[in-house]
Amino acid sequence: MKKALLKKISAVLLAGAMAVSAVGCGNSGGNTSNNNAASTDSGTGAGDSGSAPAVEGKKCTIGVAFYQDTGLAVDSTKAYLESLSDTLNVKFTYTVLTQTDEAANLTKIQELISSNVDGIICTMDLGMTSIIQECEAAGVYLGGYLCDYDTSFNTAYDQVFKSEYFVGTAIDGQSPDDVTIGNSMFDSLIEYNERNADAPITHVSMAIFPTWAFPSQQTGADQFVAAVEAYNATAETPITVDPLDEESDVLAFAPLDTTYFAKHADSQAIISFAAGSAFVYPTMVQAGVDSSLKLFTTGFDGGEEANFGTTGNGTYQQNMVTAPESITYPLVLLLNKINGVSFPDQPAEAERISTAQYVINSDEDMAKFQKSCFYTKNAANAMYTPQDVLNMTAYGNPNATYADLKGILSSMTIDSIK
Amino acid sequence: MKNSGNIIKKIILSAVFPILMFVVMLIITASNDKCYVNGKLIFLSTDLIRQVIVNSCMTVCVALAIWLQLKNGRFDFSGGASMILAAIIAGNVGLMTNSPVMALLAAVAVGIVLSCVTAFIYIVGKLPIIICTIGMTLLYESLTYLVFGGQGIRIFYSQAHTSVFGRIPGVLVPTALAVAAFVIFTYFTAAGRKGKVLSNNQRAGVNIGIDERKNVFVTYIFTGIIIGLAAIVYVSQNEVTPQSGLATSGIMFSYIVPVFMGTFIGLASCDVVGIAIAAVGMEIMNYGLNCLNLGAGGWQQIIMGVFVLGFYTFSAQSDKIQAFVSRLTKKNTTAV
Repeated sequence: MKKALLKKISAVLLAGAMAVSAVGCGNSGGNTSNNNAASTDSGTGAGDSGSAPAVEGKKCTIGVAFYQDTGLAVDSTKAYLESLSDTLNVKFTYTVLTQTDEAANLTKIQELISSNVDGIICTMDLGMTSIIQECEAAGVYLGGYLCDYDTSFNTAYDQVFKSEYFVGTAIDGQSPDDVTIGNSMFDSLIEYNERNADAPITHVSMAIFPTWAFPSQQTGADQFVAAVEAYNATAETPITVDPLDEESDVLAFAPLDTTYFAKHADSQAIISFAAGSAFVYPTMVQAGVDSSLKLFTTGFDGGEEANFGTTGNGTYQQNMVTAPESITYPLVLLLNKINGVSFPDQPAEAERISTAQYVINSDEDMAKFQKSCFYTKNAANAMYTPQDVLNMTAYGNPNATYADLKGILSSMTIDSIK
Repeated sequence: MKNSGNIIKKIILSAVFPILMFVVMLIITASNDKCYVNGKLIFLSTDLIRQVIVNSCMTVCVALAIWLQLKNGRFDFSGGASMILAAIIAGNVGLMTNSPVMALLAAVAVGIVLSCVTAFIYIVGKLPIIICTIGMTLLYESLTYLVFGGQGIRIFYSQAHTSVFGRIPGVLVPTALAVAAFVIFTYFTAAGRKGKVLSNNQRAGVNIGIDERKNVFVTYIFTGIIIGLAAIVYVSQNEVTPQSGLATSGIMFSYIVPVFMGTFIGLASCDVVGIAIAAVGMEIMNYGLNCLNLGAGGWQQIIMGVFVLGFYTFSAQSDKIQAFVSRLTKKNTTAV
């Protein structure tokens, strides 16, 4: 009797919960439509202000396929894109690709296509020939971001870069044929030594990712060694660079070995072309050498500022990141395609364009960087307003050119942060 | 006199594994040019002691949490998720209060709460343990994306004053507490002894009046304490990101090898000593492989896999080996 009563009460409660859920969903749908209405209103409002262009872009959806689902770079890029949503009349939807599974990536892209996206921004060059075929079949345009598409560039140029559905890519730093990262690392090392003339760094070791995956890192390391050799020819205090050891200094996408420090016993700093914040620094902490060794590296995952320059342990002496605003390049090209327009100087084939990077190698640079959209994840700190981006499109501004769009990528340096 | 002799014998037997491992790795590294830098054998650097201690402490904490449940007849998949979630919360609490002690307390508190929730669902839902804990793992993993904006915790381990429990000597504190919690539960509480009965014969245990539900709950409370202590070591050594797709089980079970090895080594003394000794031995092996540039990738996995398999095979056949040896000895004696 008691059990039956309990069952009835449970059934009533569950039914109630379902009803509340249904009402909740209904409200949520209502809110969405209200939001859409609000978006349109705000877009019109901008147009009324007089500063907006006469032509408003088509309402469209763009899928962004990231390489991971959280982190400063991803979050700040999302914040930047969302800030553009109303003015550009674009809805953004997100997914995450894998770094190892071509089929899984194709499935992710197919899912985006089946959700009726008009364009896709993709951060991974894995399975690109199948992906581009899928996009061509569906009439969906594709752009690249934070990726040099080197495999496609060298092995499937005709299928990918010559496809009318591929608009080009903004590279995370330099393209393999335009490497300057070695010189940049060297400059940061020399700047450090100038600031610390009483205790300069005179012995360094390096770390890179495998050449098959990141050929530009090996080139960068060679460039760094060449720069040091040139410097040593006239320097009073020469710098020794431990030659790259294929087995211990090439990180197979795994953290640095704990024995790295014993193998480079005399090293005073690690020049990590590989993402040092994630692959080198944790091992330094575990080995207890984070206060005795310096780290010059790429990437910024958040938290590095606590031990940067003269702060904390002072481990980090250089970080290097790409501004999230560089996604503007593929975005504008996609919007042009979706709106059926192009720049007067638009090249016939898609290009891969190097982006300038934030090279943070002093306390002053770090202070500037902490005001950036990347660090704050606040689009109010972005280099470009939604109106600026609209003005970069061919339909928003008849005078806009491809050269201008390319130009913005080379201007995103630490000094350009507002 | 006999007692002290027994203790010495136990100590020697327990220490055989890490000593053997050290000698073998020393011979291998000493005969390899890769392991010499400026004429010095890097395997014999002070780094060996530091790495072995730091890594063994982490392994011991997680291994004890796994073993406590296994010992009581349950294979709990949710331990890893509880540890990761506790680590994220504890790390953020530690940062907010700027205190590693507060982080430790928060880790233990969250570990206990999460373990109690798992125990509650297991008891009330009357679900098979695997289904229950996989479900809880998925739930806790999803929470890692919700707490603190889904950002996990990063900066905690990189600051010397917050990460004291991940470095020497601070790392010894949570490890000692975890060992103490395990020993107290197993050897000094009624629940620990009753758990042994239940894991051997559940029906008989219940029939003689053991309240199984209460026992499960108490076991989970102690497991929660150990998981919390493992979490504070983990967050003091690593960036902790949100996890999904049972990835946390992978993190936890990467520490399972010393559990099985420890139960065999522990035959000479007790399971907790066996686990600690096994962890030390495995870390010596890992360090040696690192010196040989085999610390990551396929070869490390192959060597580790073959070694572990060989060890398990040996331990499973130890009775037969013992009988064979005694037969040989007998024959020799008869011949003489």
